[in-house]
Amino acid sequence: MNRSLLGGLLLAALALSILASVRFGTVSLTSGEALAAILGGGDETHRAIVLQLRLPRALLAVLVGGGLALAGAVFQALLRNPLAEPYILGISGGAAGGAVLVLALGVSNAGSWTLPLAAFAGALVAIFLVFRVASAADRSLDVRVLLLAGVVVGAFFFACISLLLAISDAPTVRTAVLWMMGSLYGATWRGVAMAAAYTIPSAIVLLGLARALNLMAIGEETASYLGVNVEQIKRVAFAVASLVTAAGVAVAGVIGFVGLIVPHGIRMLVGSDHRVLLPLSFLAGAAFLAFADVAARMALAPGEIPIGVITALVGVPLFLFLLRGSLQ
Amino acid sequence: MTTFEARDLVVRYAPGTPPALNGVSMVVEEGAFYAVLGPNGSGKSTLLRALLGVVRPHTGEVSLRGIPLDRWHRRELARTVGVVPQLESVAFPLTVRELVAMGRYPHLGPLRAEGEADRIAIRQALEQCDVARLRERPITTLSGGELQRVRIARALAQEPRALALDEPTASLDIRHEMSIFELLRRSVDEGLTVLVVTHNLNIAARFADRLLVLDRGKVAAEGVAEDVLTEEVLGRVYQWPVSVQREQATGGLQVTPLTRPRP
Amino acid sequence: MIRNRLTGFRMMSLIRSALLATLVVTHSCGAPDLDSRDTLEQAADPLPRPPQASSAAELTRFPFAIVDAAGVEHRLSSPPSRIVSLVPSATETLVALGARDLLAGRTDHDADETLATLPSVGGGLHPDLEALVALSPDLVIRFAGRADPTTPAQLDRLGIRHFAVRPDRLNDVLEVVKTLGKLVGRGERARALAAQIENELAEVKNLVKGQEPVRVAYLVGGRPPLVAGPSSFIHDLMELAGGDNVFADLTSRYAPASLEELMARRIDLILVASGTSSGLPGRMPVRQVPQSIEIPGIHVGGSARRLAGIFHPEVFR
Repeated sequence: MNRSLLGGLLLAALALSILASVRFGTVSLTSGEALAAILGGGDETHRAIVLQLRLPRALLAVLVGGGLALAGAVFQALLRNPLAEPYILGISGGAAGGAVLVLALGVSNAGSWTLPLAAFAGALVAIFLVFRVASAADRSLDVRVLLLAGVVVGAFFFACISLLLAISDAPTVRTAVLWMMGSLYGATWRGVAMAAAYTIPSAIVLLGLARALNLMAIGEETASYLGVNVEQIKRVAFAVASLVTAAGVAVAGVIGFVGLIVPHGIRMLVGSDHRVLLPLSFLAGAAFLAFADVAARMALAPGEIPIGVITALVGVPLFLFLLRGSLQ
Repeated sequence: MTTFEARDLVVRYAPGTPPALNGVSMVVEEGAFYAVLGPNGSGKSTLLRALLGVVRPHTGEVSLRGIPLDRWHRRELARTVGVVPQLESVAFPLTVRELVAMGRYPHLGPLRAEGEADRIAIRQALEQCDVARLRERPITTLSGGELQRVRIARALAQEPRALALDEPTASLDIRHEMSIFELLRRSVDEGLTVLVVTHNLNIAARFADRLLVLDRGKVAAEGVAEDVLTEEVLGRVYQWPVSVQREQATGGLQVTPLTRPRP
Repeated sequence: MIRNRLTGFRMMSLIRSALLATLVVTHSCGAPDLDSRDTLEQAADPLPRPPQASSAAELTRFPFAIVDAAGVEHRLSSPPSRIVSLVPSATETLVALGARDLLAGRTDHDADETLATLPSVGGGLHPDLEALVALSPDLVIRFAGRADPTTPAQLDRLGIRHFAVRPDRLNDVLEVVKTLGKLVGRGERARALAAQIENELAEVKNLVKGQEPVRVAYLVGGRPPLVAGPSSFIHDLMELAGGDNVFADLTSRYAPASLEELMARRIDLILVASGTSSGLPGRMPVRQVPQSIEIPGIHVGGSARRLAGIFHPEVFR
């Protein structure tokens, strides 16, 4: 598919997804009312709904979705493995472990700021462990060793989570399980600011690595002959992509499939040139998660479906459809 | 000025195994066409990779243009030496021009966009290697000979002072093999230094200024073709009797394997 | 609340036996809210009739300060007029106190038909915030505790007053009734209702007095089965109704018990909420009880009477 055409379509989809997030909700507002609320006028209740609830949720979905998809695309490039995803690499496990730990200890209550922070710290610990294990086994950070280390560290964290849950009381279990399914229910402007502070600079760095990733896709040795400091690029890309993931997990819980399916879908449509793949993955992930959140809020209103369920329910058939198209 | 230099090079891939290189010293002068020969497993590719800094020597020193290799920055190194490695994967369907444009990375870095100088370098490299007409073809559709020339074009687009090639003509037919070596010869005549690892003794004898024969990690012979390609040296190194004759049509040395007498 | 705890524990046993991923799917397909079982079944017991009190005596003087179950002090300058209660037992209490007209919304778990016309905010935990804001409530009554830490934080941000109640133990029920009464300016009526519930409980206690306590266990279900320990509402209720909870020595509210343990403790009667499978061998003395028995609301008198009837049928003959 034509790259700029797809880019245009995705930009339009992203704009549309934000508009839809602001326009639709369990409380029905007319477009006029929503617009008035955005401009700071209209009914006070409408303003609260649009400015305090819908808008931060939409922006958080955009940041988290875009970040997860971008990080997924980078992990797939780095590890040259189509399965590479924050989940496989133990990063989600670390983040979930950190969050469940503070929940179980009772440190985090009433939606305090410690939960995202702990998730973040857990993700960083996981990344550190994965790198230590991998470099202890092999100094050149071999792809297979990294993947293996990720799987092992992730498994360890999930074992710790199971242990913590087994000895926790029911409210903790409930909160932890809901959190592990991912939700934007707790979206706040502060969460948006935090996600933006981590995601936007990280995204710029990752987009800047696109050319080096292209070279590394031909072969790491070739890339180094062409002047790429392969190990340094790997370290930077790995750390920054992990940071984006951790920030996303911290504010929205564990949302699966976005990091796996979105980059794959984009690759099937426009190929693997990272200069195109990375920005389009960000756009597609952002729009996808924003739409998914509208569905999560609306489908069983006034109840809410965990957004991870939506991303899986919608993402998997879409992925299979693309896969079928790419095979024909 | 020397381009590549190795002194008492010892390379061991794993502790306890016999060294892949065992005390190799050699010098490639600037502007030379230098060929590294030897049987399978004699350490040819290892020597090349050690000279390019991707294999760290156990002991010994490697330098490029008189400066120890570990003091070179990767990008500066890539502006000095263009490499055509033996193996690389075609990860995604790039066009010929896109692949050759990758040779500009050491000049551009991760962020700078292609400028006029880059476009000229790419065009010249494409023309030099006679692949300009293929520029929009996906590299997945090229023949083996075309792909090899495109990869050399990528190395030339780096605008290097030296080229290093690992078996550039393995599995190519004589027409493609000859066209590539003639391209390399022309480049040397224009001032480039070329270091090539090859199995083909005859073509090395014909094109290279100096030759190095490796035998189980050690230098068996080094020098001009007449001194290196002798029946005695080759018979010992390859453990197969050969005859070396001067060929009438080209004036080059011709190595012919003989039939080994049955024990 | 109790319901949530119980369901949470059923989840926990799932976690132990299944992969997390499987769990997530199981859970999410099962119910968007874990408290869906909080549905009040229409209990057979008649609603306790609150005695009529003089309207002058039951007026709370405003402004006044009151501390909720989360330890937060609230200063109310005027009686709340648009209440959304996220706690079904509290909603029921408010209706019984004659405060039906103050309610601006309901949850999906309120079974009272007179509330059906009110807009719902979904579950009692993680309610639909938009729908909640749209009702412009001046007071939200919520569960205390850590089951849903997000909602109070969001309500704070939205500037909506929220009042935490914790109907965890039998004694809490009377406390919640009195607190809610004070909150809506119907203190006198609430005290009367609390006294009536207290009387009902005392009556049951009297009936079973002198009876040999029946050795009982309350099974929350799951594999391995989870049993109610001390410090649970159902424990209080069973002990009051002439039962002897054989698992009173547990250190946590609910804990898994092995089949061996269940056999070794010489249990006369194993109570299982209707609709849950006990997963026990047929020879064990299992008895189903309605789920409504787990609800710590104004019907506790009836629940206690029902349990006493099961434990000591001879007394009621």
